[in-house]
Amino acid sequence: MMALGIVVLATLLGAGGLGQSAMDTLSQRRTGRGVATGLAVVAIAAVLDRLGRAVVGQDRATAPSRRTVLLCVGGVIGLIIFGRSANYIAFPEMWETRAFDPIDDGVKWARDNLRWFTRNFNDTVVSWYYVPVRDYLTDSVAWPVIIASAAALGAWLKGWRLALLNVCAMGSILLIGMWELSIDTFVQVVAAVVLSILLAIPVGIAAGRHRRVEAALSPVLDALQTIPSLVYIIPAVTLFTIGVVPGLIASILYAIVPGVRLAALGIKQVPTESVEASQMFGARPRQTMFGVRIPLAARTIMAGVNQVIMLVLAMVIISGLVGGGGLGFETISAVKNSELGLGFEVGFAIVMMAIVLDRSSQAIADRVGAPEVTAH
Amino acid sequence: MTAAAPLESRSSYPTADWQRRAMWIVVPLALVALQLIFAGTQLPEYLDETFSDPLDDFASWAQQNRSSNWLFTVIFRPLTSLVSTGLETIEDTLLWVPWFVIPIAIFLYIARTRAWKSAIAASLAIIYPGLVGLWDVTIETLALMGMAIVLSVALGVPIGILAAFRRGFDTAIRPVLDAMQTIPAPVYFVPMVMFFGIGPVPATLATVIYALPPVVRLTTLGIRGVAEQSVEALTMFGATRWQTLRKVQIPMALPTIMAGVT
Repeated sequence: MMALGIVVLATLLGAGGLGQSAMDTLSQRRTGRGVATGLAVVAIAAVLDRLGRAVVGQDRATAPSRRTVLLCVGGVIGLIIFGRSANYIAFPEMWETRAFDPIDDGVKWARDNLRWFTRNFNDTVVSWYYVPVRDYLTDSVAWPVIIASAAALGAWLKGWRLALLNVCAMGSILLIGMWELSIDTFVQVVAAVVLSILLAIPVGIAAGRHRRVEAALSPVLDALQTIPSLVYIIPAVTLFTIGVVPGLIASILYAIVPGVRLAALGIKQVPTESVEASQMFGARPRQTMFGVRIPLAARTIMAGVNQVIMLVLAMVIISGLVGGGGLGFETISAVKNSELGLGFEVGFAIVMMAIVLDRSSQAIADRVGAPEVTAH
Repeated sequence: MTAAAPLESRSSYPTADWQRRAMWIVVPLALVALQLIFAGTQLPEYLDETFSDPLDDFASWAQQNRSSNWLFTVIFRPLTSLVSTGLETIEDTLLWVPWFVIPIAIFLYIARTRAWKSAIAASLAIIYPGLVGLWDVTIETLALMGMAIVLSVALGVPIGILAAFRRGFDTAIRPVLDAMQTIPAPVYFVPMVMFFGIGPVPATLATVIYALPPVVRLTTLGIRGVAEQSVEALTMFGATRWQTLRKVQIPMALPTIMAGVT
């Protein structure tokens, strides 16, 4: 199941197959075909999953008799002979549908009619956030300040060990000369994480409170999680053109899922006793929500935030495919030009950044999290 | 309420209160000082070439000696052709067989376990790519996945079994497995291309690298999880170590191993 995630990326190596057709749809901006291809990847994943379970699930009690097995094998062989001799081999072309093509028209319509929104969003993100913050962090702020701030933050959150880890990880990124690229990627990651959290936590809380919202959301979340991320980068590119923003959108869509799920879970896990106690003291619904439910769910919600950060980082490379800049773009060019040294440095920087962000966000989660709930 | 109060007491530092307050002044001052001292200076990228240059040299060496060095003629070239023959055989077979046999075979195989619903679901799912005109590319991907699964099981299960019995080996490979899982896939694409060229073969092997860690881990877990007692009972009856492994431990660990595969 997991291995399928790599199918699309493996196209960079010339794998062909479904990954290649997904790549083609990306370069042709054909969302409909992209969705069709993405669902095909999901379908294969489902088939392999079921087959794997069938390999495990055989046991003597339910096994069919030898006669049935022989009959089935014979039947299959007969079908093969029949198909070969009747020259009925390739998948019948007349069955092929173009059911997904209307999606293309829909996306085109959206591109032409939502331009006021997409253009403004694009410009706002790029010229008010991405470029100024990146330039400020690379040109104006001296590098020791950033490392020292990270160290101070680590020491404050958890202690000297986290501070030391942050210093070592960031220092090594600096020494191998990946500093500016990493800052670039970091700025994008922060934007994607903040937007994902702003979306995920309210939605997750709503889903945790109302069963109907949750029921409506769960197929959407499942779809977002299983469809290869390259697929929803296609409409993003069509709508927002090449650059930082489509990568951002795709990262948000990819990373939002665990944020929503864990926020919902956290809210649901709040013991009813605590809620009832607060209501008995005359707390209004809003007070119960912000005074009891959210603080008690904070630990789980923060675990979701940690997941969001890690998934956004995983998308950095995919964003590089659509002009995201930073480490992702360098990775793609390293693979394309077979630059071993660059590939090593970029990979190292990504891993270091992942470690720093993971440990720091976990420390924040420990800090924010309410003490363990004990039943009184 | 409960949220704010324990925050102070849970801090890991037993520092005095005034020290804590002093930090709020010292740290910002230090940051300002650092900014003033280092503003406008060059980034100290001392190790910029230390790692990348040897690697690049190695890459260009590999490029030049692709056809002469034993590393390529004895190891990588035969390996490449082996994997690519395997891939082609699977793909050709799947395309040689009339298409409708594939869903039927999948249905029958899963139906053997009396899981009717998932048998129907799987056979319909395999028809779907054909309906949107992606049959051939899907078969190509299936062949790649199948080959990758076979290879990762063939490599991962023995490694996992070994790790289950040798604790030292286990601790030795653990960081390697962690690294394999955290390093973003495109990073090891580069050496793959160097050694195996461009095409389905490096893609298969990259998938194997990606899929190997869970297989190894869950195999170790599964073997260790087999109850000690059933192993002891067998040794009492005089079964050799290999016999116990083959007849009891592997079958009993199979569900966990398969969970790693999928």
